[in-house]
Amino acid sequence: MEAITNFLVSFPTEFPVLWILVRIVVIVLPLMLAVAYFTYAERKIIGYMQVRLGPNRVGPKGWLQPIADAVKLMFKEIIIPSGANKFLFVLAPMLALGPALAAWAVLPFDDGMVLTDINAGLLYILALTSVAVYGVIIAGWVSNSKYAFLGAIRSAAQIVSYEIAMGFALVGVLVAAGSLNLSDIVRAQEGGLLHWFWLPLLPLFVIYFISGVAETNRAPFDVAEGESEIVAGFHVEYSGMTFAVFFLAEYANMILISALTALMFLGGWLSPFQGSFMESWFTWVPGIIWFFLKILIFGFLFLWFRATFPRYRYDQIMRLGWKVFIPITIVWILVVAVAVVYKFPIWFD
Amino acid sequence: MRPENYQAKSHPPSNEYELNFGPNHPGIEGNYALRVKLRGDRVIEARADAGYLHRGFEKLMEGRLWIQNIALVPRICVPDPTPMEVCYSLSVETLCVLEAPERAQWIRVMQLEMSRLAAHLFAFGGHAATTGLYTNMFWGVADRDLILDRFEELTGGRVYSIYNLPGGVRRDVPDGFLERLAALLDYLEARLEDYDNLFFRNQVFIRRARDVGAMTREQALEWGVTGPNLRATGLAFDVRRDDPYLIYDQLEFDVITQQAGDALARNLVRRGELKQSIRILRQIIERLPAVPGPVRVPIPNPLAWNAPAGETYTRVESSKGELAYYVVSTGGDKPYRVQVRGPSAMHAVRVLEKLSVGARLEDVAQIMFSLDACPPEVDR
Amino acid sequence: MTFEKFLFYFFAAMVIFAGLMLITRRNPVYSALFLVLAFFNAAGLWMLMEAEFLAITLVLVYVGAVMVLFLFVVMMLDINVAEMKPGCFITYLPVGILIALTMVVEMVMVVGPNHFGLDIYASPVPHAPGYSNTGELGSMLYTIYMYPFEIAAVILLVAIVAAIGLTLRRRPDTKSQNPSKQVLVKRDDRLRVVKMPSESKMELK
Repeated sequence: MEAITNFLVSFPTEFPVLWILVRIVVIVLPLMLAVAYFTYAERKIIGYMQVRLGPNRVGPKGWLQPIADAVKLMFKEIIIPSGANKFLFVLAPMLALGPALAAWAVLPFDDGMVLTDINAGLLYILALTSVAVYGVIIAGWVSNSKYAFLGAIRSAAQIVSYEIAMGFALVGVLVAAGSLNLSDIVRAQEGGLLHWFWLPLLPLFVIYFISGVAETNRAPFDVAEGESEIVAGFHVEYSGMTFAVFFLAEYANMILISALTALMFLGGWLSPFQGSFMESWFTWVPGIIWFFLKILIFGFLFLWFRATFPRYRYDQIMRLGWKVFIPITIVWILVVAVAVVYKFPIWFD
Repeated sequence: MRPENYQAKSHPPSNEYELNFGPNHPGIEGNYALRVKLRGDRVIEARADAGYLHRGFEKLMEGRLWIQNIALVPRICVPDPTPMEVCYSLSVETLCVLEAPERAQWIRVMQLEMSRLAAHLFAFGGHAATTGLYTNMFWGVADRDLILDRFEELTGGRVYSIYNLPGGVRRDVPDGFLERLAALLDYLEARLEDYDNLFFRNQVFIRRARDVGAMTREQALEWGVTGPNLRATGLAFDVRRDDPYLIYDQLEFDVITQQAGDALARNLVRRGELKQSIRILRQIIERLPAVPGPVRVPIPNPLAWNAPAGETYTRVESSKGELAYYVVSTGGDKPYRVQVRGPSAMHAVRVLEKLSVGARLEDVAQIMFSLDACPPEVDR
Repeated sequence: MTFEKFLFYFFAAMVIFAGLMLITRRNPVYSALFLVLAFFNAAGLWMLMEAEFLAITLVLVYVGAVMVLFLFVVMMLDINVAEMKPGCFITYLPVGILIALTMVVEMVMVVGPNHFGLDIYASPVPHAPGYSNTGELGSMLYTIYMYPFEIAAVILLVAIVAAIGLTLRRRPDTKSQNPSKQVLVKRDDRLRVVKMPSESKMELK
């Protein structure tokens, strides 16, 4: 017994690489499960919004539907278009999924509960999300299909444009927090609902989340998929597991964007009742629960958007990104900078 | 095509390319194809490729008895079958100098308006789906289903009712039908508010659909556009009012027009017509019980029914536009020739080809659905 | 060999491999993708030198933006690769060797044994874990290098304006929507409800 305890206690220091691997698995496995059930939630929620029932055949109330889907996709044949470069064709979905998972390395779930607490966390996130576009571009090009290529071009242009708005919104956050470290950014929002950055950075908050929706190619910015126009866009030639990986990447990205928005603007693991008379009632709630609840809010918004908005047209998306979002973010960065320099009360004093 | 050879060798270098839009494409209605030539994502040439649904109705009708054709005609247009039955019945009645009893005429108008409601709900639901707003489509289909329930109660058939025949309708309305129809109308009217909030007042949709596939009144007249598509260009032409058939001249309704002639205007016309159809149906519910009489006149033995020689052109207003049957009889027990003038044949071929030019690729599906063309009716 | 050393050789080998592939591939898209790989490994090398800001910026700017646009162009080029004979490579080889030699000579002159080495520069001491390269860089840029930094920014702005000015063209043959017109439209411009009595029934002839 004592040997086991000793082993467990000394494990992190004795086998640092193994210990990191264990922690990665502890993050990624629940994440993949969350992705699977996010698809279920999407189909159910949108189903109810559209006066349908959604999946209800596999398992009680359709609970096993995502599992059934995964099994089905696993056993489907992967058809590689003739003349396509096999290596790139298979690599593309992995390039799409990789960054969405790697970004979780720097995300703090609770105070100190983070895989790697690096100083340049925000930059790391920005770099990774900018790399995710390669999966889409390569997939569209290597598929040898006009529809796929059109989808890839649209998506690449869209992601590159919205990255700028997103990056500027994050600049506002780091000016306000005075740090690139995600844990420090959350700590800078201490003090309850009104102290979180969503209020002083309201335009940036809105722009960041909308850009996030655009970045993940979700409705109403899903021109890269554009079902009624270019069928399924960049992944039109993908089937079986390769398609499933694209699918996973899309949903993992949605969860990632929700988590980032929660961290940067809704105070991550912080309790909303901090500083109010209700604070003592909720001290038993661990921070990670608050964090998950905040993720759920944005996850739901993603689904809600999809059920209630038609798709933007490509030029409208570009206009929105370049002519509306980027100017607003630049102006608001100035506003935030002035507020920080003059120690504007309640948030920056 | 290999990635190394993105363009076939024989092609001269060019930034134009062709894209097959259909026949298996989520942005196309039914089995129908458009071949578009694109420069960037602008269409520079569009060619409709019809014929995937050609079943030869007009020829088939020449081999069937006058009354047998009733079972054939509704299949010409799946979303809006009733005008087909009614229009064919009217043309046979004209040939045989019959007139349906007044009560049958009222029931026919009731069916026509129910069918128009169902078809319009389907039409703008489909348009919403081309812009990615599937919610509206599912709502439209769900609400259309309630109308189909009433059709089932009235006629026994949900989609193809085969209820009208030369000389009247098959049977009278069931007991309590009108009350249930009234309740459905109340529900639909309340529901229209939801559609407005989701769709017609949705700023994203309005910006998508406005100025897309716009045509002027002159162009519309030149191309033979009818129905809501014509009214969307500002011309108040409606067969129901301008050449009234059945008992439309006893009913009160407005002709809805829009000035812009674009995809949005076409849908707003349909939206307005939903309200007018409900208004017409309410009048029918109120006045039908007082209309006396049988619902059909005696007709000769259908197996030996020789219509007098002659020809007739009979038109009605279907949900898609002016629908007409040109029927020629040489005095036999079968039609000599039947020509169906389907509105979609104009809308989905010539008009679609012309409106697509210069549009963006993503608007092609919108133009097609906003014209509310029905591919089975194009091919016949 | 320590772990860091192993990483260094790994990244260095990958950079050289990617560079070689970059210049030997016949399809420009593959070349561009190998350039991306080279950038990644160069970023890894910088990371080893504790220059995490530069490393991440390399990925963010070059991989995430510049190369995406580059690929964009290359993918749309109308290149028939079958026509690009391997002879091209041989034809340009002398010029290439000349340029490469010049560069090697220049590099030796700058970082040769006379100017570079442990006896001239002491081996850098690893910084404490809390040290932020980003912050240091920022305080340098905005104090000592203020003017060069601002001037570079202005030059870039001019370049953006010039690029847009050069490529902007109007296409008269397309149907575009004018958003400002769309917003200003009024109800009366579009909608007209006609109320008129029904015509009397036509007589059958």
